[in-house]
Amino acid sequence: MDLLGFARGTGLKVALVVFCFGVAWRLVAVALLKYKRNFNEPRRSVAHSALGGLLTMGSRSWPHAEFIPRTGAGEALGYSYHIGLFLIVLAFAPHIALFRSLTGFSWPALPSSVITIISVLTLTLFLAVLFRRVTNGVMRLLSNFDDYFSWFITASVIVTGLAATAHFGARYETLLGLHVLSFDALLIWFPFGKLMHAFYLLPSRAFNGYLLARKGAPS
Amino acid sequence: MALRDRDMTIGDALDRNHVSRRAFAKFCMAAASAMALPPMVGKAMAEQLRVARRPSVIYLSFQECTGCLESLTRSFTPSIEGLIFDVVSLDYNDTLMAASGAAAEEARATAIKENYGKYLVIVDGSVPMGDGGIYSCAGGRSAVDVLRETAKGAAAIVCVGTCSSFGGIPYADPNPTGALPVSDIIGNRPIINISGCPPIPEVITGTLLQYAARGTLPDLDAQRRPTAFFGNSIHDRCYRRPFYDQGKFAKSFDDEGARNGWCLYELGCKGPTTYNACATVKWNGGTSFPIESGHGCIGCSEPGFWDKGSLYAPLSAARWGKAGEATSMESLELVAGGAIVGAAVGAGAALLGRHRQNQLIGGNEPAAGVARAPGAGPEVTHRQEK
Amino acid sequence: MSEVANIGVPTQLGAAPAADSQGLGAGVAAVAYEIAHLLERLVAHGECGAIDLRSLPMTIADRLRLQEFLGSGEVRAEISADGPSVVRETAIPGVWWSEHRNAHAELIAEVIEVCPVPEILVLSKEELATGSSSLRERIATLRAAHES
Repeated sequence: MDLLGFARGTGLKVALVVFCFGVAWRLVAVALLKYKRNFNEPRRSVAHSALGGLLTMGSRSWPHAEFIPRTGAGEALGYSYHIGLFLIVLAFAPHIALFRSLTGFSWPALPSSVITIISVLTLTLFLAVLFRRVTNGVMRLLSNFDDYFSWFITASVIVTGLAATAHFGARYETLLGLHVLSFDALLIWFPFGKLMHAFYLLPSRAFNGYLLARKGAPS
Repeated sequence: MALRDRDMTIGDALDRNHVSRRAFAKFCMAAASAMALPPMVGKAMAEQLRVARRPSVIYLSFQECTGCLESLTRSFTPSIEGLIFDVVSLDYNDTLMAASGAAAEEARATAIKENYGKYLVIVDGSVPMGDGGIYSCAGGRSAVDVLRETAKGAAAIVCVGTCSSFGGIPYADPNPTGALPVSDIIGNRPIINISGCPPIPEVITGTLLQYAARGTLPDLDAQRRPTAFFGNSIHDRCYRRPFYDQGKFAKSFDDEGARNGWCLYELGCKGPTTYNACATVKWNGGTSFPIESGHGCIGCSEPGFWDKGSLYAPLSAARWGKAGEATSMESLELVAGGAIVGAAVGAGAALLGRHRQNQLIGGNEPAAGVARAPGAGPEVTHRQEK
Repeated sequence: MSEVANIGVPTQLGAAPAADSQGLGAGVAAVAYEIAHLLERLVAHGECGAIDLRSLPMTIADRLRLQEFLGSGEVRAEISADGPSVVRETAIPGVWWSEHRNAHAELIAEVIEVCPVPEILVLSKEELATGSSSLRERIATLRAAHES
C-alpha cells in the first residue's frame, strides 16, 4: 500500500469517522448541559427572541463602528482567508469530485487557474496572520499550543495542495499523498481544538442574541 | 531461427542477411524517431550496433495473456522481423518458434549452455508460487523452476509487461495463485522492467536495441524502468494539459466537454500518477493513445493498478471498502456510526458536566479550573455566568 | 479558443480555423530558427545536425508552410533500401528534407538534415572496399566466361 493509497483509503476512512465522532461528542456535550433558569420577565415572546437570535448571528459578525479602527484590520484579514479557504475547498473541481464520491452531490467549479490565485492569496494572508500573532504582544501572550498547531495543520493542507497542483517538489503521487494525509490529520485534530469554532460560532452567537432579545435589547 | 555463431557481430549478421548499411541506417533512424529520441541518436545507435555482439535471447512466458508478445510483434519500427533476424538471436520463444515439445526445450538448454553468462532473458507473465508453483507448468516443470534455472547464466533479465514487472493481473487481490513479479524471485541478476499492460511495442524493441547497442543497462528509475520511456508521467506530456490547467473537464463520456477534447480527470484519468511514454511515442506507430481517443489513462504501467479503485473514479475521490471501491452508502454508515458513538460519549460527558453544575449551583465553591465538563470547552464557563 | 489552436496538435472545434497565409505561424518560425542555428554551426564548426519532424507538434498547415518556406533545390535522390526513401535538397544549400518509408510504404521517419550531403547517400570505406573487390571478382568471372 503506497502513501497515496493509504491516505485516500484507510486514512480518510479513519479520519472521517474520528471527525464525526469528535464533532458529535463536543456538540452533544455542550447542548445537554443545564441551563440556568431565567427568572426575569421576558420582554419579548419566544418566537421574537428566537428571531433576535438569528439576527444576532449577522449583527455580531462585524464590530461596532467604535471598534473598527482598532479591530477592523484583524477582522478583515480573518474573513479574507476564511473566504479564500471556502472557495478553495468548495469550488475546485478535484475537491468537488471528492464530495461527489462521498455524498453523491456535486456543483459547478471555478476555473482552476482562479483557484490557484486564490490559494496563493490565502496562503499569504495565512502567513500574515501568524506574523501578527507572533509579533503582537497581547496575541503572543494569549496564544497556546492549540492556536499554533491548528494554524500549522491548516497551513500544511494549503501548502501541500499548492505543491501538488503545481507539481513542484516531488513526484505527483507523493505530493498528492501528502496533501490527502494532511487533510486526514486536519479532520482528526478538528474536533479537539479551536477549529471547533466552525460549529460553535454561529449557535453561540444565536444563543447570546436570544437571551438579549428576551431581555428586550436590540439585536 | 537460431544462428549459433556466438561471436558474430550484428554487422556480420546484417551482411549475411544482405541488409545494406543504408537499410540498417534507415532502420535505426526510424527506431530513434519512434522512441522520440533525437535523429543523431539513431546514427550513433547504428554505429554501435554494427560492432556489437549479437545477443542470444531466451524468451520465457509464464502467467501471461500473451498481450505483451502480441504488442512486440506489432512493433512498426524496429519491426519484429528486423529485430529477431538482424539484431538479436531469438533462441527460444515458445509462441513464435517453429520447434515444439522436447526439441524446443533442447533448443533452450543448448542456448543456455553455449551462451552461458551472456544471454538475455526476456520474461512475460508473473510467476505463481502457491502450492509449490503448480499453477503455471509447461513440459512438466513449474514456472519458478524454469525461471531460476534460466536466470542463473543470464547477463540481464528484461521483464516485459506489468505482470512480470510488478505482478499485474494475477497478483491482483485476492491473488489465489500466489503470483509474484520476477524481481521478487530473482535477486542477483540485473533486471529491467518494461511495464505496461501491454507495454508500447516501440518501447520494448527500443529498450532491447539500446541494450544491444550499449551492452549495459540503460538508466533506470526506482522501479527499474528505463527513464528514457518512463521518466515522465502521462500528465506531464498530455496534449490536453491546457484544459486541466484551466479547469475544463469532461463530465461524462461523449458530452460536450468530451467532444471538445477537454481533460478527462473527472472520468477517472490516472495520468498524473502514471509513468509511461504513451503521450509521446503513442500506439500503432504513433497514431493515438487512450486519452487522445477519449478514454482516461488506467495507469497500467504502475504497480498494483488493478487494486487502486475504480478506473472511472477521479484521483481525488475517496476510496475504501472491499477491493478499494467507494460507495456512498458505506461512507454514510460509517460516518453515522461514528456520530452516534460520539453523541453517546457526549451525553456521558454532559452528565458529568451537569453533575458538576449541580454542585456549583448547590453553593459549593468550585476549585480553580474545575468548572468544566470534559469535552465541553470554554463555552461552559461563559454560560455559567448567566 | 486561441489556447487550443496554439498547443500545436491538430484539433477540430466546430469549424476548422482558416489557414493563415500571412507570414510564418509561430510553430514554423521556431523550426526555421532551429534550422538557421544548425546551419550556422555547420558553417562554423563543420558539425552536422538534424531535426526529427515527427517529434515536433505541427499542424498539417504548418508543415505545408514549412515546405513552401524551405523550397526546392537542384537535387532529388530516390533510395530503395528496405523500402523507398526520398532525399530532397531544399532551396537552402546544406538543408535537406528526407522522407523514409518501409517496405510497406509506411512513413517511418521524416527528418530535416543540415549537412553537406545526407549520411544515407554517403558510402563508408568498408563498403567501397567491398565494392572494389566485388567488382574485381565480377570482371575476372566475366573474362573467364568470355575466354571459355
